[in-house]
Amino acid sequence: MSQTHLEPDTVEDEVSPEPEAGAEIVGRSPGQIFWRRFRKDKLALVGVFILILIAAIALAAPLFANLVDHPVNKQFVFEMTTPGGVPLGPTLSNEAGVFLFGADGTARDLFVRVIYGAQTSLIVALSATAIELVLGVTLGIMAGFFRGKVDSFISGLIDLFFALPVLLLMLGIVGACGAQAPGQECLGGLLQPGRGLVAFVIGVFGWPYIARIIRGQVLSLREKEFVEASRSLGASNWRIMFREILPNVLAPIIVYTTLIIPTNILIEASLSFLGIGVPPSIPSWGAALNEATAYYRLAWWMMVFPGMFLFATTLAFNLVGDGLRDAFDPKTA
Amino acid sequence: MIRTFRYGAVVVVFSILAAACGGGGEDSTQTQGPGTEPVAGGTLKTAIETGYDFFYAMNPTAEYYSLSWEFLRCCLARTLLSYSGTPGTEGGNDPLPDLATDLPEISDDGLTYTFTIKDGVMFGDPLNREIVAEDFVTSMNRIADPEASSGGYYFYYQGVVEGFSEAYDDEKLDEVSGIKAVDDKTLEITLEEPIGAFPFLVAMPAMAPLPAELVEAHPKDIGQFLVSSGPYQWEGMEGLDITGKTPPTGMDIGKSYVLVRNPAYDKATDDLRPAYLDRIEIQVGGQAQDLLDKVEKGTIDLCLTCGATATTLQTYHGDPALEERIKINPGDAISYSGLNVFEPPMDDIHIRKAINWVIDRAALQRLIGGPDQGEITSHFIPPSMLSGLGQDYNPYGSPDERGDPAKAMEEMKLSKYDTDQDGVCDAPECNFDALTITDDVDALKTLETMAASMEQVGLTMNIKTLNYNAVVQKCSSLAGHQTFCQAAWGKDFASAFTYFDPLLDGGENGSNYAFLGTTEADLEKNGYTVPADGIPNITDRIDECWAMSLETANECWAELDKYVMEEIVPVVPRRFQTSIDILGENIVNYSYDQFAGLGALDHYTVADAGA
Repeated sequence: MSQTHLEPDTVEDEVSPEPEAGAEIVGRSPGQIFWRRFRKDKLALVGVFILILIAAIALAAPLFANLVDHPVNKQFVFEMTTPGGVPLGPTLSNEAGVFLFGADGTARDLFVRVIYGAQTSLIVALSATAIELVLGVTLGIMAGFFRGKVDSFISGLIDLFFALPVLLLMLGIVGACGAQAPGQECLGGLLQPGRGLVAFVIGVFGWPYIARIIRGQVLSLREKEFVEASRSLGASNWRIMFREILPNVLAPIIVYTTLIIPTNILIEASLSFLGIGVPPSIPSWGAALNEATAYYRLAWWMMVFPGMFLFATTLAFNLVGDGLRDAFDPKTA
Repeated sequence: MIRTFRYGAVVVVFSILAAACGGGGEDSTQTQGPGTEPVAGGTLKTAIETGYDFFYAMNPTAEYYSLSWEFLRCCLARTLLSYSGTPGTEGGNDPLPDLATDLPEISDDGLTYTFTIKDGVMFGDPLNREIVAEDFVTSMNRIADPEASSGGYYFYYQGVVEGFSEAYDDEKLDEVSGIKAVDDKTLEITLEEPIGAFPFLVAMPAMAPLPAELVEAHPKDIGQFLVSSGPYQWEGMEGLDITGKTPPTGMDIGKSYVLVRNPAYDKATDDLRPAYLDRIEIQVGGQAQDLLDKVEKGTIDLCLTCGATATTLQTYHGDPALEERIKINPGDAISYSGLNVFEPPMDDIHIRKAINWVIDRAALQRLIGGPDQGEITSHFIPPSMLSGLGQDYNPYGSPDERGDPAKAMEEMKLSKYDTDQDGVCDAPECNFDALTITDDVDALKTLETMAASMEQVGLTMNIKTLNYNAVVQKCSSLAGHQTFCQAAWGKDFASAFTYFDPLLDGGENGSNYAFLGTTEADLEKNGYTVPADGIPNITDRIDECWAMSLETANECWAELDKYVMEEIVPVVPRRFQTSIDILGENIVNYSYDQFAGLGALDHYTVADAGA
């Protein structure tokens, strides 16, 4: 039997006025309580709206590119640059069509590049976050549940990862695996240059944070009565960990997830800004911003639009994360 | 050279470079005006971008980069013959007597060159002694020391100076037999065979005289303690213990450099260098656009490595007051892509030709700044290296240079990788990788534009980026299995030999990305299929042209250029680069040094010289 056990004060923390005599007391599930709180957080709702919008734009990117006949890597060198090669800005009346955000440094439609960039950012960030969650939650639960040598080992591993110069390692691995000749790829070809490689590297180095948080939670939960009860009923350790304890750490997992996604978006953008993120043919906000630095005096649009999307997305995730944390946290009721 | 880097004998593009033989727009010299004498004195404040330092800490035997060569030519290391720091049209590519009293006496058989050394030429602080013939022997022996010359251009002397190859190859042999100090003022150099271009080799910085005590004390880090033979020296050289480990204050590697006047230098011994400035300061660090912005604001006078960005060119061209501060000169250099002719699909000449036909060279030129950055080309040797021969040669020309997809498709139909012969590449090998340097924005744009052109004939080019050293390592080794590498190259001296020999001969020589002239054994060892029609090799043709006199060699080189571009096609030429200097408002006098491809440091004057 699977059961979600929340702390009593968590269940009852929705502060209600003293029920009037004769009034019916309405029972609410934890989900209902969460939603009643979350929907009151206007900023979080704005965040949700922005994320939905950006996700929709990302999904619609190919449709828009087809609509204006500006494939993502198509160049308009003679239509959208000056004779000296400086890109032209936003225009609705160019001979090559509408360029809402103007052209980038290679004379491509910046709007198309930016909305495709949303795909890149979201795919990489979500994939990296998934890797972090799988590794971090699994190892965190094991450390907290088994304690002893297992905990020592995993905690040592976490400390080791914290001590690593993560950014430098990311730079090295993405760089080294990003341009191997056929037959010489990293991990026997498993790691191919592209979004997958970047997501893998971010995820592999990001799990210790969530593992440490989950470990702390599990150390407390494993002493609770429902765990004792499960054990007395003969449940195995794995069942207790993943069927009894895991549902009870979902709240911190969800909150932390929404907070690490924007971090991962920024890491991807940073790697691409440094030129070692996704390959150049794949649009990326970070790469677009890097290119903009060479033109910032003449082509403001190259910096403003990718920067605006990057800012809005990370802000939205942070707003949603804060809202979720508040909604799950009884102390903020 | 020319802001291309040779690292382990390799050059790879840093895209800021520019191109064009026949050159540019603005004057290559500038003075205060008719009848006005340049005013000596003052300080020139310069900067070098991050990543563009002196790679070998000014080791004259190893430095192989135009910036270093300009500092050595101008300031620190005079040679028997040298250059005047002027444009090619004013003789800037011609070796002239410098430490030698005159051009050398050449024996009737063309094998022995005898130089007489000027009186009164001195080493600067802390030695302050006269330069003698034995100091040149020391230098030649040092070039033949693999440890000291690693990364440099020792290969130019191999098979040329008698006994050089033996000394280079044999660890126990320290002396080159073909160079001899007859007395303090007479130096004799014997060649293995007559080489018309030998004066160019004498004018290279590696042949600058070196005191034996310095060479013994600093077999590798000699540049930090370099005792000057020129008009300037590192600040802090006076009283320095050159056998010690503390370099002078003016030599802070990776951070800053300061040159001050060499008190032992006698201007009367030097017809080539006006040496107006009292002091030259070089700060290391910053990105090109930031440094060019500082030049515009007057914070610094000059960025030595920046060239000109599209932003800067547009800004300066839009303001008459600024426009005269753009100096565009022929770079004697080429931007090209090297094709590994043994790696599919580039192992098929029809693919290589189809690429040359299809790419939009006009778009490539425009995207990196337009005609200011160089003249479009589809052949390999700048006509300035051939006394103008090849000026009209355009083997892959197209209307407006936008590419010719029809001819490309015709060529593609002949390829084994176009299995249905419809003019579109359709084999799995048609999807291949191209490699360039991570932060080389212009090279990246170039590749993206080329990739877009190639799609028209079914070729899919995946662009990958790595850091500079990794790119060089992968592109220059067969084991790297790279297909398509971005590169640029500038002359080492005014001969087409300095293109063909390093770039298209000798297999894995460090800069031969096509691997022409490699061996069957090397191919098999690295997993390649040996071509049924033999390994392309132009060694004999290079040797034939190299042995000719300078006057007769040009036609030979021009023919070889045609042969390479039509019968082998190991490269995709794009631009003959210009060299662009953006001058700060404080700079008054300017001259372009055709030899190094930079503004001549000894010709600059500054407005506040008297202040």
